[in-house]
Amino acid sequence: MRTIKDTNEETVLKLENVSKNFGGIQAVDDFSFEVKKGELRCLIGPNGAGKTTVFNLITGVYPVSEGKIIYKGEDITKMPAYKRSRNGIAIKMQIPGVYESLTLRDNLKIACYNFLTPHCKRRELEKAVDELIAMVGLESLGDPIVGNLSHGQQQWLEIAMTLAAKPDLLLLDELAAGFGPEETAFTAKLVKMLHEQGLTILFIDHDMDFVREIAQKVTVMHFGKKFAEGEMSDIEQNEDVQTIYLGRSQGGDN
Amino acid sequence: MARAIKAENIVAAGFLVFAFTLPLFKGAYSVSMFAHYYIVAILALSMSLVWGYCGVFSFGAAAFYGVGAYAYAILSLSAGETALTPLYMLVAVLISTLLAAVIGYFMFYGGINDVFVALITLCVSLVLETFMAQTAGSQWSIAGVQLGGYNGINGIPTIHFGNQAITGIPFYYFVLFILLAVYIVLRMIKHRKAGYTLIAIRENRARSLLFGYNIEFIQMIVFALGGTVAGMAGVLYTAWGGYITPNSMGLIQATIPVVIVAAGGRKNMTAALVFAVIYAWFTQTLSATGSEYGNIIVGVSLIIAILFVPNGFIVAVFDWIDKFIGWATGKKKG
Repeated sequence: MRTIKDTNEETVLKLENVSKNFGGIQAVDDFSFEVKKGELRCLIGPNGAGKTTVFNLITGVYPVSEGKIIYKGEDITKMPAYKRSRNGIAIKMQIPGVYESLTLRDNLKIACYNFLTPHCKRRELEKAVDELIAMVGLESLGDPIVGNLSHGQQQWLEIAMTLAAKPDLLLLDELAAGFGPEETAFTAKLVKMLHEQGLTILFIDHDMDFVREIAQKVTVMHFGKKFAEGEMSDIEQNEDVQTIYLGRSQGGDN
Repeated sequence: MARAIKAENIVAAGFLVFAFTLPLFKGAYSVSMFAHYYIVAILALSMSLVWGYCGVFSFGAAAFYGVGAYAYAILSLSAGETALTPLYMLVAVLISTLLAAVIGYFMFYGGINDVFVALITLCVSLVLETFMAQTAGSQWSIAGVQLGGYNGINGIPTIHFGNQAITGIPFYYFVLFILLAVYIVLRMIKHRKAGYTLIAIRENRARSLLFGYNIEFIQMIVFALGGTVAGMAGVLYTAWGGYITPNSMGLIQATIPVVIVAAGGRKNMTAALVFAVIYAWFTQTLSATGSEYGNIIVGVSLIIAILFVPNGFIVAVFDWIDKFIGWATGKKKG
């Protein structure tokens, strides 16, 4: 199924001078960055900074206007989205991307099918579905129509669906959006666990407590450009970042 | 876990028994008419596959039906070799499949979806109808077969096995066999990867793309297979009646399968099949008594379906029966 071989490439993802414009709007402007294997990286920035567009360029939903995307050492700039997905780039979308009129298990089956060995037995499929349900703690639900689930349950279901791809690069777009504190804590635990298993994760989030809790390295975007990059603690001290994003007035200390 | 007996399966089994024994208790005329109803059902299954399963709302079935029908007519009349009619049938079906594949390729790889597919396919059907309707002059002939404008082509031979013309009861079983083959294949894929793939595309294209589904390609293949099934219906109709006219690609022909599938239950093959047979029988019975109310009744039934049972009449009936069975068996246990 995968066309890109696993190499010992240290850099899983590399964007080289990537730009994207929609008509006259420059959503992403000469943006370059790298994500190393096993890294847990956060992309932050004000609304409209181009974070989600960067995700859409990585997954192949949009073609880039200029620049190159390198994944595991291979240029995937021209690769269609479905092939990128089959090669291990998985995304959890901002708005829950679940199949609302189908049941929980059917959702997971759809998510699994392209990542199992061809002609796998029905039992293997059911087992894979069971494991995914257990991973996100939805065992008690049974097999309901997904449209009837709560927002949080749909979010976790989609995380499980994303993990069905056994990804090498996991993109999480505002995972904690709409979550209460308890749910956020569970989600943070889940992301940390995945990171400990060696998964390379790139995520977007606005909840700074959540980001502080899990991210090590942070890239800040502003007007489609890379604004700053570094350790979370350094970024939080950076006055320019505070001005554009963290909402504190310059020099203020509360 | 034992699977509950579903109303859908009961109805399917009932239909099977009815269809196989029909020639035993009905006369030659009824048997022949039921062969025609099954042809309508095959056309409805094409619609059910493309729209109901894969979510591609298309009026193209009429175009592929007509192309299959004309292709079979021209092939069988120009060669005049009746022993080869099964071959002509296959070639005609192949032609409508290829046409569907080409149209599907340009639409889906061109990023066209939803209502625009409906518009394009409706135009294709109407353009073909208009074109064939103006072929009355003697200059319009293909391989010596006059296309005949609005009157169409007459005297087309039925399907032959060797020297044996397939008519009457054998033709009835031949059509039934094809109907069941299409139905069984489509029901079989439902719980397999292919079925999940189509449903995933129907429910959410953008998300399915990011689960590794090659959307455009699958849409094109399904559209082409819809062309195969519709073309098959067209060929069978031509062989059944011995004639074909541009009406076969007209507005009514293009909309009837859509209406049947929508009113019967578009996400359920059995519902589409059963409702198609009931519809065809009903309109035929009405028109035989001298009135043309058939289309009005279909229109009204569509409105009622949209207002009250959006999942379709037959599906609603299945649900009621299922509930009743659940209630009755639950009561027995309790």
